[in-house]
Amino acid sequence: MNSPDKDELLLNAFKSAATGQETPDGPHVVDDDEQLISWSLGEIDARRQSELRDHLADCPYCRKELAAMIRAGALKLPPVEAVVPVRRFWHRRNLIWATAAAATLMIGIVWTMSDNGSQRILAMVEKDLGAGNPAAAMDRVETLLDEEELDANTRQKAQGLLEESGYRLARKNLRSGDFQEVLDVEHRTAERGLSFSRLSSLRLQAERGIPAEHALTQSGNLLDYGYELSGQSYNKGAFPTFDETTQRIRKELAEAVKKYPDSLDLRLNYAQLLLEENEYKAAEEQFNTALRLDEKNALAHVGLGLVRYHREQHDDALKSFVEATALDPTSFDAQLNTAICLERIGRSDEAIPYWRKANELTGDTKMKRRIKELLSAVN
Amino acid sequence: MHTARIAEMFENDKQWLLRQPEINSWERACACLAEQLERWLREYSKPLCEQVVAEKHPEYPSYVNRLWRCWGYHWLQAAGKSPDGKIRGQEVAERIRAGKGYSRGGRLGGDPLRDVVLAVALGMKENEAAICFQTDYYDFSRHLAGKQNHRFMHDVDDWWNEFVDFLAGYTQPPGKLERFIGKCALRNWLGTVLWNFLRRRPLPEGINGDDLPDNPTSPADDVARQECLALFTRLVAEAFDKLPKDDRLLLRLLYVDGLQLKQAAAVIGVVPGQASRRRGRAIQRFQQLLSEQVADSEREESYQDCLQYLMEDPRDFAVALCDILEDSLAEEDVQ
Repeated sequence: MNSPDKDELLLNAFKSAATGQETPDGPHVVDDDEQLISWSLGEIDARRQSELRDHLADCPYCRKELAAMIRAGALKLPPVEAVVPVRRFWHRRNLIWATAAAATLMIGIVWTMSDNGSQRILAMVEKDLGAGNPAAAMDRVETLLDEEELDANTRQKAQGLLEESGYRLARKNLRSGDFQEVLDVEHRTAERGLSFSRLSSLRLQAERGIPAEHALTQSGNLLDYGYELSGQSYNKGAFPTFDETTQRIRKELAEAVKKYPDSLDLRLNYAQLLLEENEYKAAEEQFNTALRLDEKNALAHVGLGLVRYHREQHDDALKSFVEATALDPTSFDAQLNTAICLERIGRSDEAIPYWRKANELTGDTKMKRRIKELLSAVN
Repeated sequence: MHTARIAEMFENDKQWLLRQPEINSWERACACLAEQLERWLREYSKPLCEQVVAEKHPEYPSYVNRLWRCWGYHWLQAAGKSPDGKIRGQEVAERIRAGKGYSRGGRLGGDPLRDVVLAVALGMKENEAAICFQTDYYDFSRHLAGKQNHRFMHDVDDWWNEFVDFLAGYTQPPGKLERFIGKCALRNWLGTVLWNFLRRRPLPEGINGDDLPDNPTSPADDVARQECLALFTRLVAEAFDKLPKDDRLLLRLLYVDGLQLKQAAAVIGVVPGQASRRRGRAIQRFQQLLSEQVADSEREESYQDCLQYLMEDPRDFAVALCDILEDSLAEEDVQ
């Protein structure tokens, strides 16, 4: 390993070498506000884009200024359409989910490698993941997978890490509402003939445009369904519209669940979708199946509780929510739903410890304030 | 009074408008569109103008025209994205008023319909509009200016009034805002315009202790070290120049200009995954070229000496450099 000053020395040599360009005479693209704004809006055609790239390749002045504007947020990044070959994508997905499951199983296999750079790269990928940087991890592992001469063990290990980094990156994007980025991540794995059920699950959420916190794999609480903290319901009117896309996704999810009956994430998502469509019986079946797969899954208990609450089976709903709090005391949704349910059936005093716990668990200041107000009203 | 002019305004868009849902009779459609524009104009002009802009207002056509250019632009874009090329104008309006557009990502940065009214009102020297602009964009502009140079942030008075004048065209019409038609919200548009406005201006005078150079120079290197660094740099430059143009652009954006992978990908017009793979291949190619460069070098002896001198534990220079390129990007991504 080089020491930092040697690293810096080499990096500086590279930067000096790569910087050594003369600035051509104008006009310069960065001086033209209108063109820059059109570019950032994705309005310029392929020919002009190509001209712009050519100019940037030859003009250090424009590159430097453009980069400064982008870094400062003065210029928004232009949209880039991922080239998604839809039909091939679908066939591939069907073909490869089976192999994906196999690849996932291989993650735990002890990995031995020949002494080459691959081992070092894999270690760096793990380091990136450990440092909470899935984007860098995914970039790195993709580069490794581009190698044609990887041995089978290394390839399997790399695919496992690709799944892990892709999943973490997609989840991060989903949380921040960057739905297209989630699709891009999934596309990057599909491009390689790989697909992973949990990544597909996030893609399905992204296609529905639902942030992670509204989906059961991440969350699920009565507030999402228009129930107020005091246990009263109101018409929230903010649910996704059930258009053709939703129907397509629903069909796709139903097929995926049939094909991969043991995938808990897929099943929870499917159940959540059914719940949103007010198909309580079907949703209940899915949540129950999820519990047969994993009886200690707190989210499945929360889901079942939500179904029962909708059906006004409040006592049963309460049992499910309480079960979820016992299984996962750190689940904000479980605590909150239990509290709302207790309020609904007039057991406000019993709700207090659940409110307090929910208050501890949430970082949402607005929510904290609402809970505090409610508690002070009770007291 | 302005009815004929307003109807004329829609004529250019007649062809695609007639294909849209709920538009059957052209005359009736024009009347409905004009009515809707007037409703918005009343709503938006109320806090921005001395008097609510309605049909009798002398500048009514200017406002309505700008509102229509904005709505029409997004409507046409939305129709283009719809499978059958049709979409209700109200649906489009609701979406853009919520700050969402129809390009990928869809973030407009605010309500462009409100912003075009603000833009026209500023040009009309409406006092309330100027106050509103200052309230909404002063801090944003100051912050952004600071990213270009801290002196701009410390001395906003030096440029703020001039910038507002440049936008509104008070002393030298037409102002830059004449060009703003709400393809995105003002915030997104303003960032680019402000950046270039400041770039063309001299920096404000420095204030106490402010004149330190941005990059303090490092202590002078000794002669041998400098010679060795020059040799390394030449070798790297020769190898780098042999890379294809696209590879050079990507590596420069990443390592010289300091963009993150996602940003560099957008500049070269590909998704981050593709950019990542290109980067990996470019670094591999570069490593190979650099190894060849070192092996073919007639300066082999000096090279070995320099390696010994600078690196102490000499190992493959090409591999070491490419490792660093990999690592340094990962660090930037984390930041």
